[in-house]
Amino acid sequence: MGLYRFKPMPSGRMGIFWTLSSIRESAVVEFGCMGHNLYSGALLRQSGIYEGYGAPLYTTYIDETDIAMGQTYRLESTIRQVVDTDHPKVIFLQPSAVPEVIGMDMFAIANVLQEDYPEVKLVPLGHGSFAISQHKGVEEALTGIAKALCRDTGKSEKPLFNVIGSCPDLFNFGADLLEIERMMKGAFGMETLCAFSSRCSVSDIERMGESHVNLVIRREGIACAKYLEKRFGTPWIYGRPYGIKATTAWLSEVGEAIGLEPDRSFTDSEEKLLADQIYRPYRTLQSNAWSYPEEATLTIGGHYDVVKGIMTFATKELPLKKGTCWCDCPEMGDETIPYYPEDKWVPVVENHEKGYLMFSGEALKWFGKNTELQIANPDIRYRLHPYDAPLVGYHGAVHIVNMFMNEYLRTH
Amino acid sequence: MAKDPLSHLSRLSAVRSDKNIKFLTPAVYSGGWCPMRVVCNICEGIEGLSYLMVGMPECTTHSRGVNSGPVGEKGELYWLYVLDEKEVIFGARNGVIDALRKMDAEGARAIMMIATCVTDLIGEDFDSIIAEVGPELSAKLSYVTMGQFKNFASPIGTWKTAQALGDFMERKDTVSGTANLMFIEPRHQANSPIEYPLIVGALERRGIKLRKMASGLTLDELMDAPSAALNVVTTAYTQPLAAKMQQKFGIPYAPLHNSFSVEQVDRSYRMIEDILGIDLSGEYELWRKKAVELEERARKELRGIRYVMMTGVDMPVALAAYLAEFGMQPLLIDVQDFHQEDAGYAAILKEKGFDPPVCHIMHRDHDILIIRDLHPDICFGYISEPMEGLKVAEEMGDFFGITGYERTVGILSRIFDVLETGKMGERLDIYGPVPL
Repeated sequence: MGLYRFKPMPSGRMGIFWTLSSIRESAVVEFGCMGHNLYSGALLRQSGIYEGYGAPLYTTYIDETDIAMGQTYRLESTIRQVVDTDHPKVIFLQPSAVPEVIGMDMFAIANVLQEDYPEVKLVPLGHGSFAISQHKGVEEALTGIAKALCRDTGKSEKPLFNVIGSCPDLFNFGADLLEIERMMKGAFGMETLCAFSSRCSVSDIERMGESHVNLVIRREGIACAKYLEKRFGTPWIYGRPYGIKATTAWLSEVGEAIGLEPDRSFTDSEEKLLADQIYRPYRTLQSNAWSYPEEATLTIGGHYDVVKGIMTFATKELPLKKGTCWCDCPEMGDETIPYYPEDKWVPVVENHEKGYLMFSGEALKWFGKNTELQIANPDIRYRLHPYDAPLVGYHGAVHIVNMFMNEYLRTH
Repeated sequence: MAKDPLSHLSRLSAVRSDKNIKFLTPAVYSGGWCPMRVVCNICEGIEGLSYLMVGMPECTTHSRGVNSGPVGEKGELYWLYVLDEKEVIFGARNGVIDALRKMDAEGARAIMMIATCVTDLIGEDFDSIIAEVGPELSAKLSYVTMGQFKNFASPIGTWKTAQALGDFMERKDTVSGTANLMFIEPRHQANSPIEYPLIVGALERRGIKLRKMASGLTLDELMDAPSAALNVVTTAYTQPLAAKMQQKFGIPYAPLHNSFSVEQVDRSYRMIEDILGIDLSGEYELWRKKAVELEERARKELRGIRYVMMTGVDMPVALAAYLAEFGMQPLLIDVQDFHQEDAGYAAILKEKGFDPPVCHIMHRDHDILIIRDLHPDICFGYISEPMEGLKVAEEMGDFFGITGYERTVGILSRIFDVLETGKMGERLDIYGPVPL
């Protein structure tokens, strides 16, 4: 990892912890020092995972003697108390950094303790080692939880879908989820079974096999979707719909997966409305791009799927050109969207002058750029409610155009 | 018969360090203040002081507040060194040294290295890092080890940081008529005014030049601190630094932080008068009179009053020793960190016939049920929701850093208010008129 001036890439353990935190009917017990739990709780509350929303977040503490002797009594007695007081259906177990260093085997501990608690399922997670990123942690959590909790079941009578990968670590997750649900209702009359994991319960996860289609909205969810396809035969599609045509295409792809045509009256009316709404702004952006091509460039960094989606919308459906773009995960970066560590993105952001710059709130604020163009975490604001404008879907498309127009106004 | 929920706890007299203090109940909800965050807060409050946090992504991410950044207002550097999977095994020495060189090249004048859990666990040797790279750098270096597995919470983080700040000091000639007001606190919010005790105004009115060692201190002021004739200690957190300065530079200190009784305050003020050659008479007559009056009332009315100290009480063992003067009986004390001076207060309590169990309250909403069943007459500290039948003197943090007769009045008034009405009275305004 090395030297950082800004918040570093979160660890796999953090990705796992954040993914678990929003699951109702469960509790999270982190074995180890307490700071991560406390501060992550605060960060999650900032992002809208308020007290009582998802899983209560417990930790055990660990002291020098526990480390030297390899003692686990704190974990055992904490589980006993949580079972007695909270009666969760599931307890997720996770080591913090110190038990990870000394090689505490959470899977073995969970196996031993499980016999004492037949009424609750103990699910160990977090053997992500020190080499993996937040993103791989999210992937491990989504897949591990699905494997541990999904029950054998038939398909629901009423058509339902799962969203896989709506997790609290992703910027604007709440608003984006609501837009996906709105569109699925409008295009197919379908309801959500499990919004995995930002708004779901253990019961929802147990029933995930009933779903008729799995919508994977970030690549960390692909492994989970493949597992569910193999076990339940559920088709899945992967992608985040950004833009107008791309959203219609995404809905068509969903339709193909479930053997239904999207309701054209819905998609047509959405497209018509958006075309009307963005007609003039489009002309303004187009005219500006013609006269000042260097100003019509989009520079963007963040999660791979978000960057790819917004960049495609901006260059294929809007009159912008591709500027520098990068993603925040070394395991995801490729030739099209490379991974930029801090020392590569800092000069890009710091020296950015013309065009549109979308990135994390932390960096935009620090370098005095327009924070209204935030599309990635670290965040700089509270997001107590999920009703901000989305970035995905039809509503997201008009919102993104709105962002570009306001930036145009600010700079002209 | 139900099991005694306190049976697993150590008695205060048996406690020698944090190791003997057990959790009231085992589950921690949801975590406790990690001391590394405290170091960042304190360092960020000192103009000209940079820091390098060395730890895992968890520590380094959470060391930053929502809006803090890598450079302070006066160019201080707040940088983060994150260990990778190899450094977790083989150490981060080379990486840390490189980072220090870069900070030095960018103009850092003094750098506090902050070691966290994993660096403490693998035994990263910061002394030898300083020995190796220190001579070639312009920046002064110091470090604190904040692994939470051996530094339980913010008090120990605060006093260890305060003590480490002493490493930036060098011997100076004493300047008469000067004193350091030692007020380092763990969580000062930027832009909120610091409420200093009344002794500050009294000293300044007598021409004493006070160096306020609090948020807003500059590095130059910190380095000049050994020129003071006296250290005035207003918080327990700064006592170890005062003791270090006494040992290293021969500067005496006046312990206002643990002077609760009128008699103790009288003695501390006399010490200040003697060392600084001033006369404080006439300054606090009304506050002193009120404190004497309340202590007399306390001797009559508080004997046998049973209480629990919960979280959020500053210096709980010292306060318990003071309340023992009136015969108040501690049923249970939450001790967040066992301070060096606490053994002395424990001895005072034992002498008066009190040896309460001590604990860490780590799940406030759950543990309050156990506390309720102890049937205390009064509790001190935080409570999430009011509970019928439980009288609680909340917001004891109001008295952090407040000293002198005004604190005596504040604490005793609050006790009487809560015992009489079940509620706290008005917040004590030490700059206003003495309460009737």
